[in-house]
Amino acid sequence: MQSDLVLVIVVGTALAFDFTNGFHDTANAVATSISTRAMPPRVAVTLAALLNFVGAFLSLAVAATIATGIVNADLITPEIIFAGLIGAILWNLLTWYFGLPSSSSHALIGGVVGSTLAAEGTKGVLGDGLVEKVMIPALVAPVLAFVTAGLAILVCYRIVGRRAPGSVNRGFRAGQIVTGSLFALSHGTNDAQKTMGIIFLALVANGNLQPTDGVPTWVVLSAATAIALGTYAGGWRIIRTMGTRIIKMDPAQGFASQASGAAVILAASNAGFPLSTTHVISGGIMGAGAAKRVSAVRWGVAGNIVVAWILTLPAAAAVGALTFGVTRIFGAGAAGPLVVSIALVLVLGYVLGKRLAAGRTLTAEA
Amino acid sequence: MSPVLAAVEWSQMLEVVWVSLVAGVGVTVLFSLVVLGTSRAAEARREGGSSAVYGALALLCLALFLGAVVFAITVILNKS
Repeated sequence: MQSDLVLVIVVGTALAFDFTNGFHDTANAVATSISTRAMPPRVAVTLAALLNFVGAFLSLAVAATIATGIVNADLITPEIIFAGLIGAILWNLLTWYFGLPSSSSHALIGGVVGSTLAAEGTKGVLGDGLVEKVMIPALVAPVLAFVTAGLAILVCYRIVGRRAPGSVNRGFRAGQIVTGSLFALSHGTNDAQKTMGIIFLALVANGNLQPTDGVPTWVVLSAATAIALGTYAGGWRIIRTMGTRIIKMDPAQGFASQASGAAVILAASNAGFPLSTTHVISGGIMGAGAAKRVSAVRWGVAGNIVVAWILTLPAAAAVGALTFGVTRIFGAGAAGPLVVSIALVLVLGYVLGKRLAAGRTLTAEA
Repeated sequence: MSPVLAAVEWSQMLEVVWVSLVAGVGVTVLFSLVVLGTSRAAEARREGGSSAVYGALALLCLALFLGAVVFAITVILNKS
């Protein structure tokens, strides 16, 4: 009973993370399309949400759980997963508040690594896996996308540079609908998997499933729904940063960054390297801007984004470790996760309520 | 090389680099040619000339671009 309650809390928290993952990463698929007016904002977000939902059903390689090879799976308990998820959710919310496109995958990995360190010490974390699966790809992804998008836009300008801007922009806007959709589909097959994997891991850790079992349909359906709803909610702050604050983008640059980003992600996932969609598309946007003119990139904004990338892993790990410590104050059962969940819901509800009230006051005054 | 860096499969990483460069630049070139062909064909029609060559270029490149998109979807679906 006690362990079932923990499981219910973990599943609920995993779905909450999935929702934040959706709205945090909406920008990856839609920001360039919205800023170049390839699609109206609501249409872009709705299409991305639908493709994320569909994508979640298309690839069920759940065995490749996000934490595999990074933490020692034999030592993982539902309480560790819970604390890791809280670390990831809080970092996602903080970076969303500041409009910073950071990686949800890194937040999740950081959270779980932190809670595992707090629970099991260094024997629970596999250093080699962390370097190979997280740190090296984190360095390679944005640089590769930057160079690819930069080269792509230079060649593109050579080809269409002398044509009338009107017809060129119309053409690339149409192309962006295709590349943006590809991005959203790929995101659905990647990121909903992380939540499914986490719920699956919790079900195995709790003894409800065997590691060799298939993924229950309710897990697939709930993860797909949560990420789609999150995507539909739209993280507008991050969309603004990515779409307009890094560079002022023309449709050709939007197309080049999306096409290059998709190429990098698919080449990497085919070779088994898990790259962050966020790092790739941000690098692509910067590359497409810098190739046109180095000063076209607002390097201050780009610098803030890079700092957020560097901080994601340690910050989410710190919150994950802290959360695990707090839950342990209440013993090893369900009490800790329950208290933390209720406290978090109350705090977030209060903050959201205050923001809504402030919004109403402003509207009334206007 | 340190043991940690030795754990990274550098040959695969190199493959990711060149495939990304070829695919990213290639797809952008293809679609740029679609845009160029369409724009030139429209211009040729307006001026009363033949738009066939540019129209054919646009169609061919569009077919190749869509082929690349279908290939990308199969990669998404087949990943393990």
